Formats: sequence, structure tokens, C-alpha cells
Amino acid sequence: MAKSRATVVVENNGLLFSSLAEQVKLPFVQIAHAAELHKLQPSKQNLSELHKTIAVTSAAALQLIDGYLLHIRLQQQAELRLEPVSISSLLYDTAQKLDAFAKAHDCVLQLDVKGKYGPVMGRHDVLKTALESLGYAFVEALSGQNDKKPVLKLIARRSKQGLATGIYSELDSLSAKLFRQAKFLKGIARQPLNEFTPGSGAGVFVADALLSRLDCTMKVSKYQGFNGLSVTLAPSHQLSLV
Amino acid sequence: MNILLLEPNRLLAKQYTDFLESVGHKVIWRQNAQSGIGAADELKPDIVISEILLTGHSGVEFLYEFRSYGDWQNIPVILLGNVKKGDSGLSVEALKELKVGAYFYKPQMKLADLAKTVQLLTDA
Repeated sequence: MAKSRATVVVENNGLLFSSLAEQVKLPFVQIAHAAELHKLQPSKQNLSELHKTIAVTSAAALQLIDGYLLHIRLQQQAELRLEPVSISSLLYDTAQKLDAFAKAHDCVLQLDVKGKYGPVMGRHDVLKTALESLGYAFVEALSGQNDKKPVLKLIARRSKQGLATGIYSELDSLSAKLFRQAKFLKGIARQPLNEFTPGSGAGVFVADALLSRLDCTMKVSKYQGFNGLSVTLAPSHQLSLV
Repeated sequence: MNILLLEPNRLLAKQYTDFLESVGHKVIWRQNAQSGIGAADELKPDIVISEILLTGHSGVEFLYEFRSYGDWQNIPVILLGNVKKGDSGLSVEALKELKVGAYFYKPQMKLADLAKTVQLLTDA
């Protein structure tokens, strides 16, 4: 018997929550280890590391939890009212938010927004949370694979359908097939996204869930030799001056 | 002791390295299985500490490869995981076959216990 839509939604939320819970263990482990280090070897340096670890990792964990909660809230809304959103300013804010986390993981963050882009139709809170979730997930993925200092790019570019925006890196392990399979197996300890990231990849799944509520499909795409996940948004004509 | 550490998370790797080096060990850190095999060849580690969930090839796949070389048959190995041993998919037989000296569930692991286990396994 086919599952009802409600059953599918509940099951998906359960898998997403499992994935999130697995991911959120990591910041707690990092904080616990930093605290133990300072307890065993009290020093100014270890105290400073403890403060830094708490600040950086708790921000990432809280962001992920907020993303999940936003997804649940959006599911409860029958209709989502879209609004004009400036992608350039959104990417700038996202880069600012990710900066400390990227530095802690030795990642170089680059903003690639060439040219002037008009607003797109979307929801500022949803797009911001989705891009941040994706950003945190990419930083952790890069940190786990590269010996050299990896580069993470936040990109906006014109496409035939509107404005494409997303997060890109030099990692080539992320493919459309892998991403498709991973979405079905999220919440499982060893799932296909482990080819890309050592964690549960919850940030990727949360971003995907949020963007799907905007009727956008997050896709694996390539741009100037970089590989990433992006979404295409329709332009808003509400604020066009010409 | 020369320790080869395979840990995909940079912050955790730094914490393990800082602590283990502070108690007198030399730690070489690698993020994935492939570079781990190369490092093992260069470093000739006395012990290996590996996370089970590495990107690409897992820690277990690394271990099967590692144990396939004659010189590395008896080098002690400690596995670390974000899942409990029972949920790791590793059977008791597999752990025995791969000669895993200890398995730590990271959320309950103390750095001091990790250092003690390193000492214990390398003294044996």
C-alpha cells in the first residue's frame, strides 16, 4: 500500500532529525575535549582555545538547529508568501556569518558576485538559513579532505531561468547521483554523502528541505572549475525600475 | 611514540594532537585513508588512531588495506567513532580480525583515557 503524504513527511522529518542529531554531537565533543584539555593542562592558551571552540562550534550547531526548526515551521504554513530578496546582500551576510568557522577550519572564503543583480523572488529568512547551513556543511567537508588550504566560494551568476546562487569548492567527490542517493538515505550512519563529508551532512539536507519549500531544487553544478550545490531563483519584477 | 592520526575534523585533530604531543608523543595527522597509507609508509608509526567515518574510504577500509601489508600486521590500532561500537556495523569478529586494540565512542571519550590506551597498547 502506498504511503500517505503525511506519513512520508513524518518519516522524512524523522530522518532529517536523526541526521541533525548525529551532526550536533560533533560540537559537543569538541567543547568537551577543549574543556578537558584546559582542566588537565590549565594555561592561557588552552583557555583561549576553549573560548574559541565554544564560540565557533556552538554557532554552527545552533544554526543547524534553527534551520531544522524553520523547516518544521514552514511545513505548518499552508501558503508561503514570497518577497523580493537581494542575493548579493544575502551572500555577503552569509560570508560574514561563516567567516569565523571557516578560519577555524583553515578554509579560505571567497565571495564571487560579479555584476549587478536585481532582486529575486524568495524568502530572505529561508534563503539565508539554507545558504548558511550549506556553508557550514561545506567547510566541514573541505576540512576533512584537503591537506592544503581549501577555498570555498559563495557564488551568484545569471542563468537562463534567473539567478543561480550556491556554494562551491574544488572537491569533485560531489556528484548529482551521489546527492540523489544521499537524500534517500539521510539519517543513516554511513550514507553516500560520506564520500563528500565526514559528518552526517545534515547541513546539506536541511538546506535542501528549506529550499524545496520555495519550490526550488538544489542541484549539483559546476562553475569555473568549481563544484557545488546551487539553486536557481526567478527574478522579481516588483522592484525593477526599468 | 610515533602516532598516525586519521581524523577528518580539523578541530578535533588539533585537540588530539595537542594533547598527545604534550604527553610526549609525536603525532602525524592525516584527514583521509589514502593519505594515511602514504603517511604510514613514511612515518613507520608505533600506533594508529583512526576515525571510522573518513571521507571517501572509511576507517575500516583503511584498516583492511593497512593490515594487508606484512610490516603493519602487529601495529596497534585504536578506532574512534561518533557512533557506539554496537552501531558501528563492526562485528566482534571483524574487530578481532583487524586487530583493533580499542574502540572509543567519541562523545564519551576522555583525552586522558585515549593517552592511557596508547601507552597500554604500545607497552604490550
